[in-house]
Parts: sequence; C-alpha cells; structure tokens
Amino acid sequence: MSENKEINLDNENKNNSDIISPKHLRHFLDIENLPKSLILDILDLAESFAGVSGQPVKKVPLLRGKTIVNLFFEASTRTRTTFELAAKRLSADVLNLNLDFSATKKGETLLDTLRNLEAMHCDMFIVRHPSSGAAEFISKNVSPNISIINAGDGRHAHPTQAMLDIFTIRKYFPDFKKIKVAIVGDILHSRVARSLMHALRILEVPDIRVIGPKTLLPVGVEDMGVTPYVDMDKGIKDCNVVIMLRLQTERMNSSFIPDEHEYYNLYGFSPKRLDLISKNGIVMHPGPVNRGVEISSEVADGNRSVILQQVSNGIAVRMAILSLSMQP
Amino acid sequence: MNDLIIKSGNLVNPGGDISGIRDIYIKNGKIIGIDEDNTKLNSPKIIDAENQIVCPGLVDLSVRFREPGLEKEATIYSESMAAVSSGVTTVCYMPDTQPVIDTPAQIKLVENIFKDVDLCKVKVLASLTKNLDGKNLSSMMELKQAGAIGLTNCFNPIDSLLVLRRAMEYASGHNITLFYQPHNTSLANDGCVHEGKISNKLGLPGIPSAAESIAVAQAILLSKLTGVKLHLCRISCLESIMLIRNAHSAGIQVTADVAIHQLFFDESSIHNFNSDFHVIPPFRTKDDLVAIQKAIQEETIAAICSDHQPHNEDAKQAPFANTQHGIASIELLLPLLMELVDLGVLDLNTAVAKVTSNPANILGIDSGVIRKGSPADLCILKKDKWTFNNSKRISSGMNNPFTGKNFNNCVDKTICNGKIVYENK
Repeated sequence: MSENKEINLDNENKNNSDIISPKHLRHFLDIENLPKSLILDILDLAESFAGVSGQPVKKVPLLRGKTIVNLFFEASTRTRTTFELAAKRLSADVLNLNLDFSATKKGETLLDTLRNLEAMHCDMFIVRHPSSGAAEFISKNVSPNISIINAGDGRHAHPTQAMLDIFTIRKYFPDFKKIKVAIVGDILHSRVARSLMHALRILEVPDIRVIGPKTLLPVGVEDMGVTPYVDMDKGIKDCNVVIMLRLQTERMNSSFIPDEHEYYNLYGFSPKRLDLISKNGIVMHPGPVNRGVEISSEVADGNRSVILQQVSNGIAVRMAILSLSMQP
Repeated sequence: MNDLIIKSGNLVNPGGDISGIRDIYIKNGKIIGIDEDNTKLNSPKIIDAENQIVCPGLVDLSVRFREPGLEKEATIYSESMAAVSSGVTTVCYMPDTQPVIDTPAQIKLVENIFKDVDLCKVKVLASLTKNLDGKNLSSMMELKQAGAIGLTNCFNPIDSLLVLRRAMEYASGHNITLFYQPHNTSLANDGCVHEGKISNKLGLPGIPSAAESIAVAQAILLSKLTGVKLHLCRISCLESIMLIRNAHSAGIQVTADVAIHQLFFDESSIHNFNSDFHVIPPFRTKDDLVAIQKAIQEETIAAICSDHQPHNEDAKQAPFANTQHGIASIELLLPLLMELVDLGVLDLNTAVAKVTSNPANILGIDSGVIRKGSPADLCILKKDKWTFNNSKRISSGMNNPFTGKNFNNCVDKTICNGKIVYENK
C-alpha cells in the first residue's frame, strides 16, 4: 500500500539532507546517501592533508578557535586517537569524553547529556555509541550550529572508517571499476562492513563479496549489492583487496560459531591463502586485530598487509571530513 | 439519563438480523425497540442520523491505559476519552500495569476507576502467572470469579512448554479463555525490528518471523491437546496465518486478532530509525502485509484491535533500540478501519464485524450487536474530511505514526449504556 509515502512526509527528503553544498556537509552520519563526487572530493582533500603529517610543524589553522568533543559511549583507542590527532592538526580544541563510565551510569539520559554539552558552546560532536541510529538521533536533537560526526553507531555505520579504507585502496588501485573486493568475517555485527558495502557500491566496484559462516551473514545481504560466500577460498579467489573483520565476540549473545579454532581454519587469513588472491592483492583490517583468530601474525605483519597504513591514513581522511563538516 | 431516538441512521450490524435505514429507541440504557413506534419513551432526545452510519459500539481486544502505576504516561480517564472518540465502548484491559493485575483486588480497582470515569466499559484480562513471571500460575479461577474475562501473560514469555500446557489444561477445565501473544523470546533474541532488509540496512537486531510462528504452532498444538479456548493476539506474519488456517481446517477452535497498524505499514516504514514505528511484533515484509490484509477478509483473523500503548515524549527519545515499543492510536481505530473500506481492503460489513460482533464473540459478552434488549452501545459515523494532528489528539500518548494523516470519516457520536459519551463538535 502506498500509505508510507503519505504518512512520512518528513522522511521523503531524507536523501542528502546532511549535505549543505557540494563542498560542505551538515553532518557526517552515513555513506549510504552520499554522491560519488563528494566521496571523491573527500578523498582528494584527504590526499592534500596527508602531507601535513610529514611536515616539521604538523598543523594547519583551518579550525582554529573551534571546539570539538569526542563523545564516546563505547570504548575505542584507534578511532578516538586519530580523531583527536586530526582535530588538533586542524588547530581545533579537543575535549575527550568517555561516557560509558560517567554520566549515563548515573541515570542521565542521552538528551540531557547533549543539552549540557551544548551549553558549553561546542561546535562539533564526534559520536560513538553502542546503539544503531544513535548518531542520527543525536543529529536530529542537537542545536543547529553543531555538527555531528558518526564514529560508529551499533552495527549500523562507521563511515569514516569506510572512507579511510577506500582511501587506502585507492593508493594501490586508482580505478575502482577494475577491482574485486572481499570483506571477510563477522558481517552481521559489523558497522564497518555496512559502511564499506555502501562506499564500494557508490564507487562502482564491479565485484563486492562478503564471506563468512551463514550465522554471521545478515539475512538479505544480497540487497546491498554484494555476493555472499560461505567458502572463503572461493570467495577471496583473485581478489585485489581482502578486508578482514574482527570477530566481535562482545556483540555475540548466542552461538554464532562453534569455536575460534574452527573459525580460523575456515575464515582465518592464513599464509597459504595469500596464494589465492590476486598477485598484487592487499590485505586490510580495521583493527583491533585478533591474531590467530581471523588473521595470522605472518599475514598481518607481512608485506601484503596495509593495516598500519590504514591507521595513518585515518588521520588525513578524518581531517578532510572534519574540515568539510565544520559550520562556518 | 435521557431516553433517546436515533432516527434514520443506516444500520451496519453484521452480528444482528436488522440492518439498513432504521430508527433505534433507547430507554434506561437499553435498546427497547427498532423501528417500532414506541410510546414508552419519556421526552426523548432525538438524534438525526440521516446519511450517517450507525454501528454497534466497538469492542477493543487490547488496550493499555497505564493505570495503576504509570499515570505519568496516561490515565484511565484520558484514554477513555480517546477510546470513545473512536466509537469504542468496551475495552479489554491488559494486566501489565504496576502492580500487575494478578489478584481479585486489582481487578476491582480497575473496574472501579472505569465506573468513576463512566465513559466506556472495561473487561479485564488478568495475568496468567503470578506477577507475569511465566512460571507460577495465578489463582486463575479466583480471577475469573472476580470478573476477569480471560487470562494472558502479555509480552512476557512462558519459557516452559510444560507450564503453558498446565495453564491451558487448568483454564480449559474452568472454561477460561487464554489470550496468548505468540513470541519466542529466545528466537527474538533482543531484536527490535523484523529480521530482513531493514535489520540488515540499519544494523538493528532483527526478530525473525519464526519467533512468532513457532510460538503459534506450539500454542495451537497445545490447545488441541488440552481443549483450551485459545485466542492468539497480534498476528504479524504469513507463516502464522498459514498455521491458523491449517488449524481451522483441522477443526481446531482458535481465534486470532491483529493490531490496526499492522494493516498499514511494513518494515520499510522504519527506514530512518523513526521510533514511532517501533512495535512488537515488528512491521514485517510487504508479503506479510498482503497476507494479513487477506486474512482479515476471511475468518482466519477474526478481530482487529487498537493495541493501544500510550507513552509520554521521553519514551521515544533515544536511539531506536532503546525506545519503548508501541503505538497510541485508539482514537484512530474507526477512522483507520473506514480507510481500509475506502481502499477496498474490506467491505463495510466485514470491517465493522472485526471490531464489534467478532471480538464480542471471542470474549463471550453481550455486546457488539444492535438488537432489542441489548445495552445501547452505539457509534454514529459520518463522512467528513479531517486531518489528525497534535492539536486534535485526545490520548496522552505522544507516540502516533499517523500524525499528519488525512481521513474521510469521523465519529459523530458515541453512546455507551444509552448515554452520549462523545460528541464531535
């Protein structure tokens, strides 16, 4: 029935409401509705920032006088640190709040926490939250001069991670239309995988594969424009890029896999599997790595691995996103 | 109380013998005659219902008015006002209040508040297990004797099939109807939306249809074993409908209902985390929606209820999975139903049966029919274009995804026990 259309008037113009102009974002919540050109612009801008880290003075004054709050309701090391470095290299003041231990434990609601931070005249919140949709919820309830950057919401999205992953891929494979990409492991619980699937689809990657046991592949994952594989050897065959995901045991509330030993045998990136991927293929991982569970140390530390480059690239990509999303 | 004559209304009365353009005569709260020139009336008030539909007052199989215990969300007074504005004259009161309705005193308390409010009638569904714990049976017969119309465990699980079997056996022996919400919590696994496209896209934990249909299958088989009178509450998926159809063709007496909102939305309505669409059971696929619409055309699903669950503003102010589920739309029950008629999903007679005579039959009460000698519970409905918005809202519940929707029909008057309890002005 066509009811939904009539009733959800406010939902209709959702597409791209986070984009103010081709060069300016209102918020950065999700990749799903971004135009390809904007994604490429962000990558190009990140490229120009990548040089900053190599200079003796690692700062540019773009966000001088602005206050950015790292609002983390869930533990993080890599993401929070690289956001903090990115903000500082743009000359912003940065406040780190780890809220899973403080206010929320005392019964304060998410909205009240937000209102209090708004009262402190901050300009941008970088938000990580264990609930899917939290960043979107916050963006709808925050005062209009504040931008929201999604640093991971539940299983839903982790758009800056996906951006830094495609930035890293582009360094090796400049033409997205010619590559095969596989994402391996716990797709079901992975916000990185969801954001990556959107990014790769928008960039017109012709062959996107997701690999894992059926318990960890979401029902209907084909709708995301990807091909599911249960057999890893078939799935990674001739791939240019293989992205390994962490087994998110903390999100697993029932028996998804028999044990880690069997998981490693079936879905772990062991050295012999390097022979299956394309000769120039690279191996990626968003971290943190469970060595010996989803990837062997030999592969993680080997010359096909770009895991540490991903981390460095994270700073430049996040600088680009922060500078495009800051309200004038 | 004035005597009443409702003149020239078009009677839609699927549970009774009389329909069409009629005059209804009401005295002392009862219908004393139809189309008879009755001189026994004492200076009656005459209601001209020409060009309007007159149907029995609605019987709503599931409401939560939050009293006692959660008066900050809604009260029996505020929600009774909303109910009668939609033509509802009898509500089934769910026991998951604070405290839970699991003693005769709790039943009396609720009944007394309804008497004081004096707008619509109440039939209390008491808790099947003590404090809804799903383990220890409540004093089932005492509750029945105190006026409980049936027993239910609401959303709360009964994990042991043995406990469910014993509850059914005991209820069957005492002719108590069991209202069972089929929901296997282990399979639902803390999900909050249908498992499929939408759970995948939004990264929200999903509830597979099987979490409902497996519970339906178990309940049907146990009802056959025990002979209990079983009513399945809030069906949402096509597998459940298939199972109910099979049960009917095998001669197993089981009834079922659906919430009105399940006839309007599917999973795609949640696409941007709009928590007004957070309901249990969740909105499922387009195929399920079509199957439910077909099932209400037949006897497979006998009744449509509001499943009214009012919340205050805070309840929906959080990321989707952390919000309270439920919709507060009792005041739109009849306008929405009429929309299904306008859309051709239901014919008028069937639509009215689903909210009057059918639910009354499920409850086994003298209601939902216009006939001589019955209580004068009536609803007068007229054609009128209007828009539901917050200024029109009567319920205290802020959670209504139909806000902003246009309607072609509205309730003009509601009469309960011969008293005009609602008038559209």
